Amino acid sequence: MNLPLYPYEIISSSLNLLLGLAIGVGFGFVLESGGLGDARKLVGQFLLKDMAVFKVMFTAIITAMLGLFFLSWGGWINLQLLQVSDSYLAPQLVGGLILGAGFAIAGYCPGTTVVGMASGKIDALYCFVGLFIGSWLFSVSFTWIASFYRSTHLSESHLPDVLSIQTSTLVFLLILVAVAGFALSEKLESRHE
Amino acid sequence: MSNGLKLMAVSLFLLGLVVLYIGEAPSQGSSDPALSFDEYDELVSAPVPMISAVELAEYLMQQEHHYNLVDLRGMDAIYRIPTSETHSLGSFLDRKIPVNETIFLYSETDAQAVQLYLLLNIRGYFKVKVLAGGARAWTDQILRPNPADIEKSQLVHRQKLTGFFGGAFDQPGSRPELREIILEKQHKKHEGC
Repeated sequence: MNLPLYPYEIISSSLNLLLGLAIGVGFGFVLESGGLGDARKLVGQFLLKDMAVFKVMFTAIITAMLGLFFLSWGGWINLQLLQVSDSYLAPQLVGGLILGAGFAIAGYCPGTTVVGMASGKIDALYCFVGLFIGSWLFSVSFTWIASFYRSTHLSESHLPDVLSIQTSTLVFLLILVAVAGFALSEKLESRHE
Repeated sequence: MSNGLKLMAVSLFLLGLVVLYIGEAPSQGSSDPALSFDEYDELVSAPVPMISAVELAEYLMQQEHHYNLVDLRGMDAIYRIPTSETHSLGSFLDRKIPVNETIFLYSETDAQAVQLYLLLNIRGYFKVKVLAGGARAWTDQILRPNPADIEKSQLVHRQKLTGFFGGAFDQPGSRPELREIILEKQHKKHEGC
Protein backbone atom coordinates (compact mmCIF):
# COMPACT_ATOMS: atom_id res chain seq x y z
CA MET A 1 0.00 0.00 0.00
CA ASN A 2 1.55 3.34 -1.00
CA LEU A 3 -1.30 5.76 -1.59
CA PRO A 4 -1.87 8.59 -0.83
CA LEU A 5 1.62 9.57 -1.98
CA TYR A 6 2.32 12.59 0.23
CA PRO A 7 1.36 11.17 3.67
CA TYR A 8 3.52 8.12 2.86
CA GLU A 9 6.36 10.57 2.04
CA ILE A 10 6.80 9.11 -1.44
CA ILE A 11 6.65 12.62 -2.91
CA SER A 12 7.87 15.90 -1.43
CA SER A 13 5.64 18.74 -0.26
CA SER A 14 6.52 20.87 -3.32
CA LEU A 15 5.81 18.02 -5.76
CA ASN A 16 2.53 17.46 -3.93
CA LEU A 17 1.61 21.11 -4.53
CA LEU A 18 2.63 20.85 -8.19
CA LEU A 19 0.47 17.73 -8.57
CA GLY A 20 -2.41 19.63 -6.96
CA LEU A 21 -1.91 22.45 -9.47
CA ALA A 22 -1.86 20.02 -12.40
CA ILE A 23 -4.99 18.22 -11.17
CA GLY A 24 -6.66 21.59 -10.56
CA VAL A 25 -5.91 22.73 -14.12
CA GLY A 26 -7.23 19.39 -15.42
CA PHE A 27 -10.39 19.73 -13.33
CA GLY A 28 -10.88 23.29 -14.60
CA PHE A 29 -10.47 22.09 -18.18
CA VAL A 30 -13.12 19.39 -17.64
CA LEU A 31 -15.50 21.90 -16.03
CA GLU A 32 -15.05 24.30 -18.95
CA SER A 33 -15.52 21.45 -21.46
CA GLY A 34 -18.75 20.51 -19.66
CA GLY A 35 -19.98 24.10 -20.06
CA LEU A 36 -19.70 24.95 -16.37
CA GLY A 37 -17.72 28.11 -17.06
CA ASP A 38 -20.94 29.78 -18.22
CA ALA A 39 -23.13 31.48 -15.61
CA ARG A 40 -26.32 30.88 -17.65
CA LYS A 41 -25.76 27.13 -17.54
CA LEU A 42 -25.11 27.25 -13.80
CA VAL A 43 -28.21 29.34 -13.11
CA GLY A 44 -30.17 26.84 -15.22
CA GLN A 45 -29.48 24.35 -12.46
CA PHE A 46 -31.29 26.49 -9.87
CA LEU A 47 -34.23 26.94 -12.26
CA LEU A 48 -34.23 23.13 -12.85
CA LYS A 49 -33.97 23.79 -16.59
CA ASP A 50 -30.44 22.52 -17.16
CA MET A 51 -29.18 19.75 -14.88
CA ALA A 52 -25.61 19.66 -16.24
CA VAL A 53 -24.11 20.81 -12.90
CA PHE A 54 -25.88 18.06 -10.99
CA LYS A 55 -24.87 15.45 -13.58
CA VAL A 56 -21.21 16.53 -13.75
CA MET A 57 -20.78 16.83 -9.98
CA PHE A 58 -22.63 13.63 -9.11
CA THR A 59 -20.68 11.75 -11.81
CA ALA A 60 -17.46 13.08 -10.25
CA ILE A 61 -18.60 12.00 -6.78
CA ILE A 62 -19.60 8.51 -7.92
CA THR A 63 -16.39 8.06 -9.93
CA ALA A 64 -14.19 9.17 -7.02
CA MET A 65 -16.19 7.05 -4.55
CA LEU A 66 -15.92 3.88 -6.64
CA GLY A 67 -12.25 4.58 -7.40
CA LEU A 68 -11.43 4.98 -3.71
CA PHE A 69 -13.48 1.94 -2.74
CA PHE A 70 -11.77 -0.38 -5.23
CA LEU A 71 -8.29 1.05 -4.58
CA SER A 72 -8.87 0.51 -0.88
CA TRP A 73 -10.23 -2.98 -1.45
CA GLY A 74 -7.13 -3.83 -3.48
CA GLY A 75 -4.92 -2.54 -0.68
CA TRP A 76 -3.38 0.27 -2.76
CA ILE A 77 -4.71 3.20 -0.77
CA ASN A 78 -5.04 3.80 2.95
CA LEU A 79 -8.29 5.75 3.40
CA GLN A 80 -7.32 6.54 6.98
CA LEU A 81 -4.69 8.94 5.61
CA LEU A 82 -7.04 10.98 3.44
CA GLN A 83 -7.68 14.41 4.86
CA VAL A 84 -11.28 14.78 5.99
CA SER A 85 -12.32 18.09 7.51
CA ASP A 86 -14.10 18.10 10.84
CA SER A 87 -17.87 18.65 10.82
CA TYR A 88 -19.34 21.79 12.42
CA LEU A 89 -23.06 21.39 11.78
CA ALA A 90 -24.54 24.86 12.40
CA PRO A 91 -21.75 26.99 10.86
CA GLN A 92 -21.51 24.66 7.85
CA LEU A 93 -25.27 24.89 7.35
CA VAL A 94 -25.16 28.68 7.44
CA GLY A 95 -22.02 28.74 5.26
CA GLY A 96 -23.73 26.43 2.75
CA LEU A 97 -26.76 28.72 2.59
CA ILE A 98 -24.56 31.80 2.04
CA LEU A 99 -22.56 29.99 -0.65
CA GLY A 100 -25.79 28.75 -2.30
CA ALA A 101 -27.31 32.24 -2.29
CA GLY A 102 -24.13 33.71 -3.78
CA PHE A 103 -24.06 30.91 -6.35
CA ALA A 104 -27.68 31.59 -7.39
CA ILE A 105 -27.18 35.37 -7.58
CA ALA A 106 -23.83 35.40 -9.36
CA GLY A 107 -24.16 32.21 -11.36
CA TYR A 108 -20.75 31.01 -10.21
CA CYS A 109 -19.30 29.03 -7.32
CA PRO A 110 -15.63 29.65 -6.36
CA GLY A 111 -14.31 26.89 -8.68
CA THR A 112 -16.38 27.87 -11.72
CA THR A 113 -15.51 31.54 -11.09
CA VAL A 114 -11.89 30.72 -11.85
CA VAL A 115 -12.93 28.57 -14.82
CA GLY A 116 -15.13 31.39 -16.19
CA MET A 117 -12.36 33.93 -15.66
CA ALA A 118 -9.82 31.70 -17.42
CA SER A 119 -12.12 31.58 -20.43
CA GLY A 120 -12.41 35.39 -20.46
CA LYS A 121 -15.85 36.00 -18.89
CA ILE A 122 -16.12 39.51 -17.40
CA ASP A 123 -18.87 38.52 -14.92
CA ALA A 124 -16.55 35.81 -13.58
CA LEU A 125 -13.87 38.45 -13.06
CA TYR A 126 -16.29 40.50 -10.92
CA CYS A 127 -17.12 37.34 -8.94
CA PHE A 128 -13.42 36.69 -8.45
CA VAL A 129 -12.96 40.18 -6.96
CA GLY A 130 -16.06 39.59 -4.79
CA LEU A 131 -14.59 36.32 -3.60
CA PHE A 132 -11.56 38.14 -2.22
CA ILE A 133 -13.68 40.88 -0.66
CA GLY A 134 -15.81 38.19 1.02
CA SER A 135 -12.69 36.38 2.29
CA TRP A 136 -11.29 39.66 3.63
CA LEU A 137 -14.58 40.49 5.39
CA PHE A 138 -14.58 37.02 6.92
CA SER A 139 -11.02 37.50 8.20
CA VAL A 140 -11.61 40.90 9.77
CA SER A 141 -14.88 39.81 11.40
CA PHE A 142 -13.55 36.46 12.60
CA THR A 143 -13.14 37.60 16.23
CA TRP A 144 -16.89 38.24 16.44
CA ILE A 145 -17.96 34.99 14.78
CA ALA A 146 -15.26 32.70 16.17
CA SER A 147 -17.49 31.10 18.83
CA PHE A 148 -20.20 30.32 16.24
CA TYR A 149 -17.52 29.15 13.77
CA ARG A 150 -16.39 26.52 16.29
CA SER A 151 -19.84 25.53 17.53
CA THR A 152 -21.65 22.15 17.07
CA HIS A 153 -18.36 20.37 16.51
CA LEU A 154 -18.75 16.72 15.50
CA SER A 155 -15.03 16.07 14.79
CA GLU A 156 -14.29 13.88 11.80
CA SER A 157 -17.57 12.14 10.97
CA HIS A 158 -18.08 9.48 8.33
CA LEU A 159 -21.48 8.48 7.02
CA PRO A 160 -21.05 4.70 7.53
CA ASP A 161 -20.28 5.35 11.24
CA VAL A 162 -23.11 7.86 11.69
CA LEU A 163 -25.64 5.57 9.95
CA SER A 164 -24.11 2.35 11.40
CA ILE A 165 -23.91 0.67 8.01
CA GLN A 166 -21.07 -0.90 6.04
CA THR A 167 -19.17 1.30 3.56
CA SER A 168 -20.17 -1.02 0.72
CA THR A 169 -23.87 -0.61 1.60
CA LEU A 170 -23.48 3.17 1.56
CA VAL A 171 -21.69 3.01 -1.82
CA PHE A 172 -24.53 0.91 -3.24
CA LEU A 173 -27.18 3.27 -1.84
CA LEU A 174 -25.42 6.31 -3.32
CA ILE A 175 -25.27 4.56 -6.70
CA LEU A 176 -29.05 4.03 -6.51
CA VAL A 177 -29.50 7.73 -5.59
CA ALA A 178 -27.28 8.73 -8.54
CA VAL A 179 -29.19 6.55 -11.02
CA ALA A 180 -32.52 7.87 -9.75
CA GLY A 181 -31.14 11.43 -9.80
CA PHE A 182 -29.95 11.12 -13.39
CA ALA A 183 -33.35 9.74 -14.51
CA LEU A 184 -35.16 12.57 -12.71
CA SER A 185 -32.78 15.14 -14.25
CA GLU A 186 -33.62 13.90 -17.75
CA LYS A 187 -37.32 14.17 -16.98
CA LEU A 188 -36.97 17.73 -15.64
CA GLU A 189 -34.92 18.78 -18.66
CA SER A 190 -37.38 17.26 -21.14
CA ARG A 191 -40.19 19.29 -19.51
CA HIS A 192 -38.40 22.52 -20.53
CA GLU A 193 -37.47 21.47 -24.04
CA MET B 1 -34.20 8.35 -20.66
CA SER B 2 -31.56 8.31 -23.44
CA ASN B 3 -29.77 5.11 -24.43
CA GLY B 4 -26.44 6.44 -23.15
CA LEU B 5 -27.91 7.19 -19.76
CA LYS B 6 -29.61 3.79 -19.61
CA LEU B 7 -26.29 2.10 -20.35
CA MET B 8 -24.58 4.17 -17.63
CA ALA B 9 -27.35 3.39 -15.14
CA VAL B 10 -27.08 -0.36 -15.80
CA SER B 11 -23.26 -0.27 -15.56
CA LEU B 12 -23.42 1.67 -12.29
CA PHE B 13 -25.99 -0.72 -10.86
CA LEU B 14 -23.81 -3.72 -11.76
CA LEU B 15 -20.77 -2.03 -10.18
CA GLY B 16 -22.89 -1.42 -7.10
CA LEU B 17 -23.72 -5.11 -6.91
CA VAL B 18 -20.00 -5.95 -7.15
CA VAL B 19 -19.33 -3.52 -4.28
CA LEU B 20 -22.06 -5.15 -2.19
CA TYR B 21 -20.63 -8.59 -2.94
CA ILE B 22 -17.10 -7.51 -1.97
CA GLY B 23 -18.28 -6.06 1.34
CA GLU B 24 -15.77 -4.26 3.55
CA ALA B 25 -12.33 -3.48 2.23
CA PRO B 26 -9.93 -5.96 3.89
CA SER B 27 -7.12 -3.43 4.13
CA GLN B 28 -9.06 -1.11 6.44
CA GLY B 29 -9.09 -1.30 10.20
CA SER B 30 -7.21 -4.57 10.50
CA SER B 31 -6.18 -4.49 14.15
CA ASP B 32 -4.88 -8.03 14.17
CA PRO B 33 -2.68 -8.37 11.08
CA ALA B 34 -1.20 -11.73 10.17
CA LEU B 35 2.41 -12.19 9.03
CA SER B 36 3.93 -15.02 7.05
CA PHE B 37 7.03 -16.72 8.48
CA ASP B 38 9.21 -14.97 5.87
CA GLU B 39 7.75 -11.57 6.71
CA TYR B 40 8.23 -12.20 10.43
CA ASP B 41 11.81 -13.30 9.84
CA GLU B 42 12.51 -10.18 7.78
CA LEU B 43 10.93 -7.95 10.41
CA VAL B 44 12.86 -9.23 13.42
CA SER B 45 16.19 -9.35 11.58
CA ALA B 46 15.92 -5.76 10.30
CA PRO B 47 17.58 -3.07 12.44
CA VAL B 48 15.25 -1.15 14.76
CA PRO B 49 15.32 2.61 14.04
CA MET B 50 16.79 4.33 17.07
CA ILE B 51 17.04 7.93 18.18
CA SER B 52 19.67 8.97 20.68
CA ALA B 53 18.72 10.89 23.82
CA VAL B 54 20.52 13.98 22.52
CA GLU B 55 18.77 13.83 19.14
CA LEU B 56 15.39 13.42 20.85
CA ALA B 57 16.12 16.31 23.21
CA GLU B 58 17.05 18.56 20.27
CA TYR B 59 13.87 17.53 18.44
CA LEU B 60 11.62 18.20 21.45
CA MET B 61 13.36 21.49 22.19
CA GLN B 62 12.36 22.86 18.79
CA GLN B 63 8.69 22.66 19.91
CA GLU B 64 7.44 22.83 16.34
CA HIS B 65 6.65 19.22 15.53
CA HIS B 66 3.60 17.04 16.00
CA TYR B 67 4.62 13.70 17.48
CA ASN B 68 3.65 10.99 19.97
CA LEU B 69 6.18 10.33 22.72
CA VAL B 70 5.22 7.14 24.49
CA ASP B 71 6.42 6.15 27.95
CA LEU B 72 5.99 2.40 28.48
CA ARG B 73 7.23 2.24 32.09
CA GLY B 74 3.82 2.25 33.73
CA MET B 75 2.36 4.73 36.20
CA ASP B 76 5.04 4.24 38.89
CA ALA B 77 7.83 6.12 37.10
CA ILE B 78 8.81 9.29 38.98
CA TYR B 79 10.21 11.34 36.13
CA ARG B 80 8.74 11.51 32.63
CA ILE B 81 10.18 13.11 29.54
CA PRO B 82 8.14 16.29 28.91
CA THR B 83 5.17 15.81 26.52
CA SER B 84 5.30 12.01 26.88
CA GLU B 85 2.16 9.96 27.49
CA THR B 86 2.09 6.80 29.57
CA HIS B 87 0.74 3.73 27.81
CA SER B 88 0.88 -0.02 27.98
CA LEU B 89 1.51 -1.97 24.77
CA GLY B 90 -2.19 -2.69 24.40
CA SER B 91 -3.52 0.76 25.29
CA PHE B 92 -1.34 2.46 22.69
CA LEU B 93 -2.39 0.04 19.94
CA ASP B 94 -6.02 0.73 20.82
CA ARG B 95 -5.58 4.44 20.08
CA LYS B 96 -5.62 3.77 16.32
CA ILE B 97 -3.69 6.88 15.38
CA PRO B 98 -2.89 7.42 11.66
CA VAL B 99 -0.04 5.26 10.39
CA ASN B 100 1.98 8.26 9.18
CA GLU B 101 2.34 9.88 12.62
CA THR B 102 5.77 10.31 14.16
CA ILE B 103 6.12 8.09 17.22
CA PHE B 104 8.96 7.87 19.74
CA LEU B 105 8.93 5.00 22.20
CA TYR B 106 10.84 4.59 25.41
CA SER B 107 10.88 2.24 28.35
CA GLU B 108 13.33 1.77 31.21
CA THR B 109 15.84 0.22 28.81
CA ASP B 110 14.95 -0.75 25.22
CA ALA B 111 13.09 -4.05 25.60
CA GLN B 112 9.43 -3.01 25.81
CA ALA B 113 9.89 -0.13 23.37
CA VAL B 114 11.34 -2.50 20.75
CA GLN B 115 8.44 -4.88 21.33
CA LEU B 116 5.91 -2.11 20.64
CA TYR B 117 7.97 -0.94 17.65
CA LEU B 118 7.58 -4.42 16.10
CA LEU B 119 3.83 -4.45 16.76
CA LEU B 120 3.46 -1.00 15.18
CA ASN B 121 5.66 -1.92 12.23
CA ILE B 122 3.43 -4.91 11.44
CA ARG B 123 0.45 -2.55 11.43
CA GLY B 124 2.06 -0.27 8.84
CA TYR B 125 3.45 2.54 11.04
CA PHE B 126 6.59 3.75 9.31
CA LYS B 127 7.76 6.73 11.38
CA VAL B 128 8.49 4.98 14.68
CA LYS B 129 11.77 5.29 16.56
CA VAL B 130 12.95 3.85 19.84
CA LEU B 131 14.91 5.96 22.33
CA ALA B 132 18.30 4.23 22.42
CA GLY B 133 19.04 3.18 25.99
CA GLY B 134 15.56 4.16 27.19
CA ALA B 135 14.85 6.38 30.18
CA ARG B 136 18.23 5.56 31.71
CA ALA B 137 20.03 7.03 28.69
CA TRP B 138 17.85 10.15 28.96
CA THR B 139 18.87 10.59 32.60
CA ASP B 140 22.55 9.92 31.91
CA GLN B 141 22.85 12.05 28.78
CA ILE B 142 20.30 14.83 29.24
CA LEU B 143 19.30 15.28 32.88
CA ARG B 144 22.56 14.50 34.68
CA PRO B 145 25.32 14.13 32.13
CA ASN B 146 28.88 13.79 33.25
CA PRO B 147 30.90 16.62 31.66
CA ALA B 148 33.87 14.28 31.37
CA ASP B 149 31.92 12.16 28.85
CA ILE B 150 31.14 15.11 26.56
CA GLU B 151 33.37 16.47 23.82
CA LYS B 152 34.64 19.96 24.63
CA SER B 153 33.15 21.47 21.47
CA GLN B 154 29.72 20.13 22.53
CA LEU B 155 29.80 21.29 26.15
CA VAL B 156 27.92 24.58 25.69
CA HIS B 157 25.26 22.98 23.51
CA ARG B 158 24.78 20.07 25.90
CA GLN B 159 24.59 22.39 28.90
CA LYS B 160 21.84 24.29 27.10
CA LEU B 161 19.96 21.02 26.41
CA THR B 162 20.33 19.85 29.99
CA GLY B 163 19.20 23.21 31.37
CA PHE B 164 16.21 23.28 29.04
CA PHE B 165 14.95 19.95 30.38
CA GLY B 166 15.44 20.95 34.01
CA GLY B 167 18.65 19.00 34.67
CA ALA B 168 22.21 19.95 35.60
CA PHE B 169 25.68 18.62 34.88
CA ASP B 170 26.70 15.95 37.35
CA GLN B 171 29.29 17.30 39.77
CA PRO B 172 31.34 15.04 42.04
CA GLY B 173 29.80 14.96 45.52
CA SER B 174 26.59 16.76 44.59
CA ARG B 175 23.31 15.57 43.08
CA PRO B 176 21.35 18.63 41.91
CA GLU B 177 17.56 18.55 42.06
CA LEU B 178 15.65 18.27 38.81
CA ARG B 179 13.46 21.21 37.86
CA GLU B 180 10.06 20.31 36.52
CA ILE B 181 9.45 21.84 33.09
CA ILE B 182 6.34 21.96 30.97
CA LEU B 183 6.53 21.83 27.21
CA GLU B 184 3.68 22.73 24.92
CA LYS B 185 2.83 19.94 22.52
CA GLN B 186 2.10 21.01 18.95
CA HIS B 187 -1.20 19.92 17.46
CA LYS B 188 -1.30 18.22 14.10
CA LYS B 189 -1.34 20.78 11.32
CA HIS B 190 -4.40 20.66 9.12
CA GLU B 191 -3.47 20.00 5.52
CA GLY B 192 -5.72 20.28 2.52
CA CYS B 193 -8.96 22.21 2.14
